[in-house]
Amino acid sequence: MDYQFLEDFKKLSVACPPKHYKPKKMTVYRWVFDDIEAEQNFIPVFYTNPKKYFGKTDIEKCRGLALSLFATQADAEERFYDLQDGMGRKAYKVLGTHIATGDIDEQDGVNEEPNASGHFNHHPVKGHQYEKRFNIISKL
Amino acid sequence: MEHIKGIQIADLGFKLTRQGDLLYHEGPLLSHFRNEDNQDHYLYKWSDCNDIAHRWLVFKVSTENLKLFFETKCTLLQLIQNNPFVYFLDLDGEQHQTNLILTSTDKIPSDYLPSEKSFFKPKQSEKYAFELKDALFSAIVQAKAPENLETPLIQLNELIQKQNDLISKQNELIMLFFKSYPSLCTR
Repeated sequence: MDYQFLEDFKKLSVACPPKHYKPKKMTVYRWVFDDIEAEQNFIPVFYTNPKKYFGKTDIEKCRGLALSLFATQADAEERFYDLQDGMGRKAYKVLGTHIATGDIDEQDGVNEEPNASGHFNHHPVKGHQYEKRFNIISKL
Repeated sequence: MEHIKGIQIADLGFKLTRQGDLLYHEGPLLSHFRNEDNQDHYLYKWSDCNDIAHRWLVFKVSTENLKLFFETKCTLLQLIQNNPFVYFLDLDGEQHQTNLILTSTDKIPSDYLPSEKSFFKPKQSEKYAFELKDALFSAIVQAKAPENLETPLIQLNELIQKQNDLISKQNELIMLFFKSYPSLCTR
């Protein structure tokens, strides 16, 4: 696949995306900031905060090049409020302020299997234009 | 970021080493550290950020209380409030300290505190949290020697009581200090 961050993957000593990540057609959910077309909403943390990855392993850098998604709206809400319980009311500053949803298919990239909290990483292809394909559906 | 009433200090005065993360989402949110000298437990709780730095609430926690937390018998909020004072550490993107403040626990801005529902949530926790939980419980089991189950347990309880007494004395001294030098409590 023509991944958005293919050039970064090539610099890593581990397989990135990991081989167990698979393409899948599904409706997904993501924490975002208002407004949806803000470019930062679909940039992985490796690029929004690159200094965070100094000294980190290539496995962690690969995770940082993925987008965090959730399998259901309920998963996205539960995870947000559970984390906010621990972090305090400023959590929105790093997590997001709204939930957006969109449909992805086998051509959009590869996905990790959702974990117990419904979260999974997604490595997108170039030109995905998620900022135009996702819609905000609720406020956190 | 919020203004913190407290005393600006140059460093913690002891060396903490990161052990792992209990909560993580695109970066650590709650991390476990240990004092290299005496192996005391400390937690770093993400609290706030601006364009320059992330702010961490750094506080000490006893083995016994950490165990209670993992048993969901106390909250993260209670672990924090169990301390007479805490630190707020601001770290820039390269993990360099930009500010460090010692403050009385009752002066922590409310937005920086966990909620009263901040129990340990296995579903949201990282693998390291379970490793730490297992290590804490196995350490307690080891303290109970198989030949005489009562004596080591009594010794452990005595040690915990002594530790609590010391913490109380420490609390009194810290509060006395804050009351004696109120001008030092604002930056």
